[in-house]
Amino acid sequence: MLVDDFAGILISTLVSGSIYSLMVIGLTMIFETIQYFNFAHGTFFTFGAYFIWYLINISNLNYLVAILLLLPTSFILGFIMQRFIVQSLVEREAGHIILILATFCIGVVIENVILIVFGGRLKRLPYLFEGYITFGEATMSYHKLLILITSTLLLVIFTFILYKTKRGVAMRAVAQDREASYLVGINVKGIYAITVGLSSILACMGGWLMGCLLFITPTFGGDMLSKGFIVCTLGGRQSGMKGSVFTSYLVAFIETTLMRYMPMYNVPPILFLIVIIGLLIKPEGLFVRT
Amino acid sequence: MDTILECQEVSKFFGDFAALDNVSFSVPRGIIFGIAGPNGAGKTTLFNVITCNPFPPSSGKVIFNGEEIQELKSYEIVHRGIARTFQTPVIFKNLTYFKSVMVGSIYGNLTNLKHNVFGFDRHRYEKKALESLERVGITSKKDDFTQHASLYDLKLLMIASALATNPSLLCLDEPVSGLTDHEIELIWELISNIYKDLGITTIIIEHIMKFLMNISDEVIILNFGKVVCKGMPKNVANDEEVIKCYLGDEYKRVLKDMER
Amino acid sequence: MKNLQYFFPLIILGILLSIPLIAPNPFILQLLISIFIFGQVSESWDLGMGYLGLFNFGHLAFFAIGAYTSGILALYFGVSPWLALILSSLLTFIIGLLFSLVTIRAGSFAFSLISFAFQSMFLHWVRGGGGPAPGKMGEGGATFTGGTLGLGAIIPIPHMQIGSIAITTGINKIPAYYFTLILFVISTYTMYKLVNSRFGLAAVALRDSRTYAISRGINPLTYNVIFISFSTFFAGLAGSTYAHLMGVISPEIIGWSNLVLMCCIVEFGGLGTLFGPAAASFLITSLTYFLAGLSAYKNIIIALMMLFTLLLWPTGLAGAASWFKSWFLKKRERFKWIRF
Repeated sequence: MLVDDFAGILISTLVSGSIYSLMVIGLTMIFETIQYFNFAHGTFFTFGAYFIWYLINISNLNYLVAILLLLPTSFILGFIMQRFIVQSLVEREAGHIILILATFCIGVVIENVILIVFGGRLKRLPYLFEGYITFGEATMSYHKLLILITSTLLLVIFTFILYKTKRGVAMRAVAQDREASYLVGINVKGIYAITVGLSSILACMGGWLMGCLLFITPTFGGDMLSKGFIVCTLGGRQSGMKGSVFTSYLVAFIETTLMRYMPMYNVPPILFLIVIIGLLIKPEGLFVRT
Repeated sequence: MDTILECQEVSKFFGDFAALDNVSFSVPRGIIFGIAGPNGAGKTTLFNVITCNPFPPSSGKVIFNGEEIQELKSYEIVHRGIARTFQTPVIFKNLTYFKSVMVGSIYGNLTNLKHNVFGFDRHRYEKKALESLERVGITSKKDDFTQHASLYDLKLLMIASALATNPSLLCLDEPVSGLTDHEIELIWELISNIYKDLGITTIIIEHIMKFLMNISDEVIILNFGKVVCKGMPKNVANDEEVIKCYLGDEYKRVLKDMER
Repeated sequence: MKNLQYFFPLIILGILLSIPLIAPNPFILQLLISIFIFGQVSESWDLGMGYLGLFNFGHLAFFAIGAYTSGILALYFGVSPWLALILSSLLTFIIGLLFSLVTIRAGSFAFSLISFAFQSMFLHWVRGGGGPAPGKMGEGGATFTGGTLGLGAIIPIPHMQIGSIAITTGINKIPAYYFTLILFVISTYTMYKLVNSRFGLAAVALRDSRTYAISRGINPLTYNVIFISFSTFFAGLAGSTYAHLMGVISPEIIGWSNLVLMCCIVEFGGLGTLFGPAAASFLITSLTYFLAGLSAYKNIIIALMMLFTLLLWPTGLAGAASWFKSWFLKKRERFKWIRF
C-alpha cells in the first residue's frame, strides 16, 4: 500500500511539476528580462485550452493541426500584448506594480471575453492519446506521459534557444543589463516582445495539456497562476531555469503529499502560508542565482 | 584637538570589486575637511557608508563623537547629527520648498516616537525651517513647488534641509557641480558663511581644486578606493602620488610636454 | 479665506444630506450606500498605494476580516451589533498592524507578493469554512465562516438599531443611508487630516525619494506601518458596516473582480489623492450598478477603463481637476480666493 501511495505521489508530482514548470519558466523569463510579473499568464493558459477546444469541436480540425496552429497564435498573442500595450508603460519607467496592474487588467479582459464567447459551463478536452500504461501496480495514462514528454521537450527547446541562438543570447543580455544591451545595438523592444511571445507559447501549451486532465472553465488558468505565483515567489524570481524547474517539482511534491493526507480545501491556505513564511525569511526567493 | 569623525580601515566591496579599500582618516572638530580624487575614486561611496544610506561599510569602523555608527540605521545616524547632500540633486517633487525643508526640520530632530505624538510643537519646526531657508537665501520662493526649480535652487534646498536637521557634521557632495561660474562663487561664499556663523564641521567632496584647496583646513585624496595622501592642502597639492593619480604614471613626461 | 477650501466638499455634502428628503428612491439610496462603502474602501487602499507606493493586494481581505468578525461575533456569540462593529474594526486594525510590522521589513515588492498570498490564503480558508461554528450552530453543521455561502445566508446577521429604528438595507433604507454617509464623511475627514499632517509629509517624502527622506531622518518602517494600519482599520470598519447592513457576507466580496474595481476607482480618481477616489467611486460604482446583470461585460469595461487610465490618463480625475483649476486661475486672477 505504501508503494502504491508512493507511486501515485510520484506520478502526480511529476505531472503537476511539469505543468507548473511550463507556467513558471515563462513567468521567470519575463521577470528576469522585463522586471514584471505577468498576471495575464494564467489567462493564456485558459486561452490555450479553449483555442484547442474550439478548433476541434467547432472548426472540426484535426487535433494535431490544432496544436500546430496554437503555437504561432500563442506567440502572436503574447507578442501583441507586450509590444502594443505593456511596452509604453515600460518605457515610461512605470514601477513593477503598475505593470502588474496592467497585465492583470489584460488578463481580466481575456478571461471575461472567453466567458462571454464560450459560456461558463465546464467543458471537456479529449486526450490526444487515449489509453494507459502500467508500471507494476501503478498505472499512468498516456496523456500524463505526454505531459512529461512535451514539457521536457519544450524546456529543452527553450534552453537551446536561450543559450545557443543569437536571439537567446540577446534575451539573456537584456535580462542582465538593459542599458548595455541598447549600447551594443540589441533591439530591446523586440526582445521584450519575443520573450513574452515565447512565454505565452509555454503557457498556452500548458493550458492545453492541463485542460485535458481537468474540466476547463474560464477561470482555471487563474487558479494555475496562483500555483505559478507560489512557485515563483518561493523559488526566486531571478533563479533562472534550473531554480524554477526544481521549485516547480518541489511545490508539486508538497502539494501532492498534503492533498493525500488532508482535506482538499486546507491545502491552498497552507501553501500560501508557506509562501508568506518563505518570503519573510528570504524575500528574494530560496534559490537566487547571484 | 577633539575628533568628530574617524574612519578606521573602512572598506566597501561590491562582489569582488573594492569601491573602498581600507580607508582611514580622522576629522578634527570645527574644521573644513576636503575630499578630492579622480572620478570613480569612491568619494560618494565613502559618504554612503558613513551615513549607512543606502549601505553600510563591508568592514571597518566609523566613529562619530566617540560612538561606533557603522551598524546603526541611517535615520538614527541623522539623529546623531550627520547631514549630507547628494551629488545628483534629489527632490521631493510633490512638495513646496518650505515643506521640503520642513521634512528635514521635523524628522531630523524628532528622535523619540513619544515626542512625535504628544506635545508636538509645529511652530518650533516651522521656525527652524524658515531659518534654514533664510540662511541659504531662498525664503522668497518658499511656497513654490520644487518640480520646476532650477539646479541652483535645488542645491540650495539640499543644503537648507540638511541645516534644518541641526547637524554637528555637514557632508557636502560636490555642492557646485553643474552650476555656472557665478553660481559656483555664490555657493562657495555660502559654505564659508555657514561655517563662520555656525561653526559646523564640514566635509566637502569637490573636483574644483581652486576652491577646495582655498577653503579646506585639511584635505584627503582618494584614488581607486584607497587613500593616496592626506594633510594640509599646500602639501597635498605638491605630493607626487597625487599628481600621478591625476596625470597618470607618465606625469613627468606630460608636464614636460606641457612646458614646451 | 482658509475655510473656503471646504467650499466644494461642503456643497456636495449638503446635496447628499438632502437626497433622502428630495428623492427617497430606494434604488438610488442603495446605490449611494454602496458608493459610500466602496468609496471608503478605495480611499483607505489609496493610503497605502498612492501615498506610500505599497500595493496591498490583501486590502479586501481586511474588509472581509472586519465583516466576518462582526458577523461571527453577532451570530455565534450574540454580541450586540454596535459592540461588534467597534470590536471588529479594532481587531482588523490590530491584525493590520501586526501584518505590516512583520511584512514591511521584507521590502515593498515582497510586501505586495506577501499581501497577494495573504489574500489568496484568506479567500481559500474562508471558502473552506474554517472548522465548525462554536456552540449549538456548530453541532447543527454550520461552519465558522459559512463556506461558499457565507454568513447570514440562513440566519441573517443582526443589524444595528437605534431605539426602534433599524439600520439596514431592508425596506427602509434611510437610516442606513445616513449612517453610511456619516461614516464615510468621518472616515474621509480623518484620512484627510492624517494625510495633511506631518505623517503625510513623511509618507510623501518617502514616496518621492526614499533615500533623500531617510537622509533627513525618516524611518520608513514607522510610516509604512502607520499608513497600512490605518488603511486596514477603515477597510475593516467598512466591512463590518456592510455585514450589518446587508445581513449577509460571502466570500465573493474578496474576489478578484472587486479588487480590480477598487484599483480602477483609485487609479481613475487619481493615485495619491483622497477626493479623487471618492469622486471616481460615484462614477464607477454607478456604472457597475447599471451593468449589474452582465458581470462579464462589467469586468471587461472596468478593466479596459483601468488600462485606459494607466496608459493615457495617469493622473486621473484629480489630475484633471488640478489642471482645470490652474487653467481657471490663469484666466481669472480675481477668483484666486476659491480653493479646490
